[in-house]
Amino acid sequence: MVAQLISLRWALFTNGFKRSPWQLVGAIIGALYALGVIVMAGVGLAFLGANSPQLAGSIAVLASAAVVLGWAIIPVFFTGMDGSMDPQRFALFPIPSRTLALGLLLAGFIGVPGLATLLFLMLTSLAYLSAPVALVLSVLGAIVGAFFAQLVARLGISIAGTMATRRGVREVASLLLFIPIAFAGPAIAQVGRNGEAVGSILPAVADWVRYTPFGAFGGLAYSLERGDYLALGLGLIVGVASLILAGWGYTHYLRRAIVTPPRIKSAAAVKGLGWVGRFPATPWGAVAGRATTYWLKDPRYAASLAIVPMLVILYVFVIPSLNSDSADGGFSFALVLGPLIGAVLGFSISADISYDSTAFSSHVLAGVSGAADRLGRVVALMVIGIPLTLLAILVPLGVSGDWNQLPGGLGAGLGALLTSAGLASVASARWTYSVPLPGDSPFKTPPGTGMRMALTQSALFLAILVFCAPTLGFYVASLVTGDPLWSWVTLAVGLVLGIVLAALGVRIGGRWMERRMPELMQAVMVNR
Amino acid sequence: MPPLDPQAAVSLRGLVKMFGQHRAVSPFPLDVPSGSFYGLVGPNGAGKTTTLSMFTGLLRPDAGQASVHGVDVWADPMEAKRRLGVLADGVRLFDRLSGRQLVTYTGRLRGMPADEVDQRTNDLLRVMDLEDAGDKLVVDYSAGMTKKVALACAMIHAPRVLVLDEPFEAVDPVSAANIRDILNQYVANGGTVLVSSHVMDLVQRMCTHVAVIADGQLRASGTVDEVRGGLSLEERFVDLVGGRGTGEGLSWLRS
Repeated sequence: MVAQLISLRWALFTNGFKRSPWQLVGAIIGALYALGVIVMAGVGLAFLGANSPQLAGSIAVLASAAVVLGWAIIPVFFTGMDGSMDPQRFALFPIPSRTLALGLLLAGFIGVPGLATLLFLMLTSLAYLSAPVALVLSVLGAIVGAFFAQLVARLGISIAGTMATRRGVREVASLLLFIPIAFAGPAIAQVGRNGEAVGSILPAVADWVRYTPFGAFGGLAYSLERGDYLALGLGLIVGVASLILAGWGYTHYLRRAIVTPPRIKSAAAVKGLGWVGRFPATPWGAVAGRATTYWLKDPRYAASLAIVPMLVILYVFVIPSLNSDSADGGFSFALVLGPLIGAVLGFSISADISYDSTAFSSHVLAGVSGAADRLGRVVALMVIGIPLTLLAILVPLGVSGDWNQLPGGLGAGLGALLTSAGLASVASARWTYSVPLPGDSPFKTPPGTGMRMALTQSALFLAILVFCAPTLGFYVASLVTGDPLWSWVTLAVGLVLGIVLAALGVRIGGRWMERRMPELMQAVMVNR
Repeated sequence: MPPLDPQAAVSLRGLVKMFGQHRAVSPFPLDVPSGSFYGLVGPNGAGKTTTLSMFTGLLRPDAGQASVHGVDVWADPMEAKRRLGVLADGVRLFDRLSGRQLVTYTGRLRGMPADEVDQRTNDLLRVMDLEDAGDKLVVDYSAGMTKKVALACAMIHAPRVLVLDEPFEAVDPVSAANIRDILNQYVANGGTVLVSSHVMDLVQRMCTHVAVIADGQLRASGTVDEVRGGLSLEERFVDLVGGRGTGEGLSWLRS
C-alpha cells in the first residue's frame, strides 16, 4: 500500500508535465538550480572539512537544522503545500491510518524539494570525510532527518489547516513569525561587527542546536566525531522522541481528518447590497463593488494585505536596528516603504482574472467592456490600497519626525501604486496562471505553477521599476539634497505620471482583454 | 452549407472546435426558430457544452459562423451578447456575494439602471423561491439553489434568447416545475429557449424542437414529433446514438 501511494504520487508528478511543457521546463530548471546549489555547498563543506573539521561539522549541523526548520516554516507561512495528496482524498479507501501516514510521508520525497532536501542533508556528511564512522552515521542521520522534515512540514500544515477555517489566522501567524526576526536583528548586527568572532561562535551555537529536534539528526555525527558520547546519547534521545511525538501527532491528525470532512462554517448574511451598492450602478461600478468585497472577504487576497504590516515592521524597526550606528540611525531605508508597498499592492491585481477563476464567465457572457472591467478593479484596489499606502508613507515619517519629506513620499508612494496598477491591468488581461481556487485553503498551491508565475511576475516587476524610475529619481534627489523643491517635483511627477499610466493601463488592458476574452476564459478553465 | 438564417433566433453554420488532435465538434448547420423551445440532447462528451460555448462567446471556434437574431456572434460579440441570456454549466459564480448581490451584480454588469435591477432582482428571487436565502452567501447555497440563482442571473436583462446548459440538474421537483412554467410563459411571449439536457422525458414533454448530437455530429434535428417518429424520444435517442450494452452485466456484483 505504501508503494502504491508512492507510485500514485509519481504518476501525479509526471502527468503534471503532460498538461503543459512549461511545467516540465520549470521543473528541470528548478532541479538543475537546486542540484547546482547543493553540490556546490557539498564541495565547499568537503574542503572546509579537510582544513578545519570542527568548523565544517558545526556548519553541517546548523545547515541541516536550518533545512528541517525551513520545512516546518516555509510551507505553512509562505508557499503552502500541493493538495493533490491530501489525506481527505483517501477517506473512502480502507487504508489503516498508520500505513496512510507513512505512504503520504514517503510520497513527499517525490518532487524537486523533497529530493533536494534528502540530497543536501546527505551531502553535509562530506564534512566528516576524515572520520568514516561519523560519515556513515551522518548519512543515516540525513535520511532520518529528511523524513523528519517531511513529517514536520505535514504536521505544521495540518495544524495550520485546522485553524485556517478562521480567516486571518495565517496573517496573524505570519506576523508572529516576524517578532523573533525583529529581535534577531540586533544580535546579528552584533555578530557582524566583529567578523572573526563568527568562526568561534558557530561551534558554540551548533553545540546547542544539536539538542533541538531540528538539529538532533544532523548533530549525531558531529557529537560522534568529537568523541562527545554524552551529547550523542542525548541527541539520539531528542531525535527519537521528536520523531515519535511528531509521528503520533500526524497520525492523530490524519485519523481525525479522514472522518471529519472539511466543513467551513457558513458565513454571516449580508444585509442589502453591501459594497456592490456603494458604487455607481454602472458596469465599472459593479466590478469595483464586487472586487472590494473580495479584497475584504477572500482569504487569498488577504495574503497580499498581510505583507503590508510585515514590511512596515521590517523597514521601520528591524532594518534601523541593524544600522543603528550610521548617521541617520539607519532610518533612510524606511523611506523606501511608501513606494515599495504601493508597488506591491498595485501588483496584486495582476492575478485578478486568475483569482476570479471560471466566475470570470459572467463578465464574458455579459459583454462587459474591457475598460469597465479594468477600471472597476483599479478603483477597488484604490479603495483598499490608498489608505494602506498612506500608512506606509506616514508611519516612517512619524517615527523620524522629518515631515519635510512628506510631499516627496506621497508622490513616490501614490505614484508607485498608480503605476503598478496600470501595468498590472495590462498584464492580467494577457497572462493568467494557476492560483489557489476560490474556497480552497490559501495553504494549497496548485501543482506546477512555479515557472510561469515567476516569469510573468518578474517581468511585470521589472516593468513597474522602469516606469517608476522617473519619479523615484526625483525622490532620491529630494532625499539626498534635502531641497523641498525636489520634494514637490516628486509629488507632481509621481501623481501625474501615475494617473496617466493608470489610465493608459485601463485603456490598453481593456482593449487587449476585449480581443482575448474567449482565450482568457479558456485559460481559467484549464487552471481549474 | 446555406448562409446564416437571419430570421432564426440562433443560426449555426459549420462550427468546428479541435482540442489538440481531437475534434470536439464537427461542422453542421442548425437553425433554432424564433419562439421555439429547443432541446439539445446527446450523451456525455458529445459536444453539447462546446457547441453552446461557441455561440455564447465563451469559446472561439476554429471555423464556422454563428448568429443570434441576425447578429454575427464573432463579428459583433457585444451586440450578440445583449440578446443572449446564458446559464453556463461547470463554471463558478462569484460565490462570496450574497444571492441578491450576485443577481444585482449581473444586472449592473449589463449596464441596466439601478431601480430596474432592484425590482427585477426582487421578482427573480421571489419566483426562484430564494427570497429567504437572498442575503446568504452563494458559497453556502446547495447545488440546486446555486443553479436557480445562476438562472436568475441569466434572465435579469430580459434577453431574446435563453441558453440553458443543464438547467434542471440538482434542482428539486417543485422548483423545476416552477422554472418550467416561467420558461413556457417566456416562450409564449415570443422568447426562444435553447436547453441542453440528458433527461429525454423532460425534453419530450417540454420542448417543441430537438436536436440530437453525438460525437460532435448532428444526428437529427427538427420538431420533437419529427425526430421521434412515433417512438418515445428516449428510444429514438438510443437508436440514433447507439452504445446500449448487450445485457451481459457484472456477474460478480451481488451481495
